[in-house]
Amino acid sequence: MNKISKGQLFTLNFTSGAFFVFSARYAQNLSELVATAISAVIIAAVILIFAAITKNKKPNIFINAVMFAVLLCAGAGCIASFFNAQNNADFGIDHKLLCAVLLGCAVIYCASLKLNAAARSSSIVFAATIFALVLLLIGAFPKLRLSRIDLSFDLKKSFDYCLTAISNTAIAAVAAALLIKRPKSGFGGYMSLGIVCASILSIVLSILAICIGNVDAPKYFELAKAAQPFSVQSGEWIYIIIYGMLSVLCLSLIVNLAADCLLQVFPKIRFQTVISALLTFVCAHLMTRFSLSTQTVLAASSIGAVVLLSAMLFIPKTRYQKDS
Amino acid sequence: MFEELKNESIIPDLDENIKRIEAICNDTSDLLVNRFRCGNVNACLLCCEAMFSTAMITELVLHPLMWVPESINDAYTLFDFIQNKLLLSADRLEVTNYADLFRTLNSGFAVVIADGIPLALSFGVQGFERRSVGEPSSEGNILGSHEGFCEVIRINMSLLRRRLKSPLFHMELFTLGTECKTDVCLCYMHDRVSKDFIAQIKQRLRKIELEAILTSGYVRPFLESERAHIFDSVGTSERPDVVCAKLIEGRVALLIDGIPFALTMPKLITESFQTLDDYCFKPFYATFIRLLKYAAFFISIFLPSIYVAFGVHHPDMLNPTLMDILREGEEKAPFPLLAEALGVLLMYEIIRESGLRLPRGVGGTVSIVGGLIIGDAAVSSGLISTPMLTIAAVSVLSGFVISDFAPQIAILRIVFLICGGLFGLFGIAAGATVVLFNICATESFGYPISSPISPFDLKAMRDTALRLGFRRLQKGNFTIKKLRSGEHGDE
Repeated sequence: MNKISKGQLFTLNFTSGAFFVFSARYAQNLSELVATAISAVIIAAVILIFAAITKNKKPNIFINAVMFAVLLCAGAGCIASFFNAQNNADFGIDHKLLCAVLLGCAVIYCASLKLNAAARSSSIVFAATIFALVLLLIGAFPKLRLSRIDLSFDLKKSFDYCLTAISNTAIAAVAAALLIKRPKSGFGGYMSLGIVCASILSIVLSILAICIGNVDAPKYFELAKAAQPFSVQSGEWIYIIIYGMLSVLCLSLIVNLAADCLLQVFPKIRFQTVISALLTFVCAHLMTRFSLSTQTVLAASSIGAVVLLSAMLFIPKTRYQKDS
Repeated sequence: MFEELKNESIIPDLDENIKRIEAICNDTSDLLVNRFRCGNVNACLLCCEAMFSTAMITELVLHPLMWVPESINDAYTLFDFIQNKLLLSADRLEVTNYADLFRTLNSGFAVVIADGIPLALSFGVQGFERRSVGEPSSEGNILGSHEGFCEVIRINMSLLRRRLKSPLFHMELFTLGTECKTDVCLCYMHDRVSKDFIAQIKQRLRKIELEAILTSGYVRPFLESERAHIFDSVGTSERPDVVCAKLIEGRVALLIDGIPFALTMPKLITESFQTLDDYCFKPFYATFIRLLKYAAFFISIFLPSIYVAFGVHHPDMLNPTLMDILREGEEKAPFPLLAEALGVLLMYEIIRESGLRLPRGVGGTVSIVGGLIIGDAAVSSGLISTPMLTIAAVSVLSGFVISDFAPQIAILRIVFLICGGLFGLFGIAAGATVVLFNICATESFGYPISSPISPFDLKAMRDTALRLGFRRLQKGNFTIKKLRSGEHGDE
């Protein structure tokens, strides 16, 4: 296994989480905000449980195969989210096939490198994301009207939204794959922290979107357009670039992990990265062909993660060996 | 050839020996053969024309040889007397085969052979014409030393030794190139470099089977990783003071005879943003300059591509005033924005390259013709818009700030321009991520070149993003050893 530090695991999870946060619909009232917070806690808890279960365990072929399927679903969901965002934002490239080819080429190259290239890149993308968010906050601050927050609380709405939020976080699948590859103790906490931070980001952006008003889905781009930093129009190009980087990073990470799982299942396979990337894109295409919503596919990956969680319980503990 | 000669011992018979030497070098005109009688033994002094100093050969070899007593009758006693009783050159070698004989002879040594002994004595009396130690041409400096490396490896070694008097500073001399046998010297601080690191460098150098080492570019690919990488993982410097600073931080330097540059390993990307002058100015100003360099790096690569992406794909992102100015400028230009930008940047590259290769006087004229006349004519005739020329000029000037990255900037600027022109901002983002991954995947002998930014090291930031004062920098001597993959941020 490539050498990845705890800090890098945090940034990997945060940046992947941030991609899903930026792609998704934000909470629109207090009930949904509470639901977002609850879902974050639940996912963090699941990851901690997963970390405890996978500790010192080496996954077998079955686990790797399930993980591969889960990651394909997560990747397909990721691509669907990306194209959903592309429909709603000015990416500069309207032709979907061309966009998919560009994204695919970038992802195949990035995923073919070692996992620690993704880990190191995530630290830099993390810093750039934080910079963009600070700009966003500066831009949004003068337009904030706290009175716009709907303070009414509905438990049923909250519960429904919580389920949606949980099924949306395919990032849990990424965390699970990373944990399987890194079965040492002490990493689950950092991953959970990454996801909790991404959820906090979601809550903050939701509050900003509510307080600014007139912001439609996908909120990130609308919010960026509404909150121009220092009142300079065209400031939103920064957010598009950050989103583009996050999408390539997140998808590369998923494809890289999927390729590794594929290699574990078929040790003699070649071009596993290209195969994984192509299968992910095929899954995303089939998803749109059969009109499956992103949410359905991400829910499937979450179910897969639960299957994994259960399956890992029956794997005997093996002595952890540090790969070179 | 050298490999074959290594196994061929020197012939004891003097006449046969001289015949063999002349045969090996094909009666080359610059081989000087001076037969003489020393004591009661026939001997011969061999040297290569214009490679030795007449004064030194007279004082260190010919004059002492006159003191050999007449009573010496055999070559063994003669060589023993020369070696142990006469005060000759400090740099002397006993040579037993023709490979070493020719290597020393062609390096400017005087070689003494005698009748009846399969041995030759070589004395360092080099005195060939060379460029003296001068001001570095590629690394300008205001307040520091004005000494730069020259082409002679031994002088370069002395330039380093003069600055690093520590006994822990180690220099290891060996040869590379199967035919040229170029001298190279590995320099490092014993206590700051792991044995494993040195072993890796030596192992890679041993893989070099080139016939000649004529520039540092011959060696560099063997020291870099085999994976395709955009940025260099081996650095170069023309300044002995800069190399000393790198050695103190735990890097390894490689000097090559005939090349006025030292190669340094590992090279981190952030090193290119540091100059010696940073340490002469006040910390606040040095920090400002350093941040300016980081900004200039991004401007030089991304400015034309973002401008074209805005113009072609995202005009609504510009504010109305700026939009009007750009539209006014671009309306008159006959070419699409991407083609225009590509044309301007390629024209700049052509002018730069032509100015570089021509003689200095003509080069200046080319710059004036290219920059002023063609630029002005192109704008006034409407071929190129003024905003485009301004953007290109700002981008090119920003690139000069970090001269280390000139090749990378030139290529990346055009690549991103195409990405931005064809795919808009998303194209730039995707391209930037690919480059970022490439940088993060590149390692130099186990050191990620993206460190200390990623993996992050707070202590190293004192002299990376910032430049703190020496009162703080002197605390806890920083060496790059801890940045090695597995010893720091990466686990």
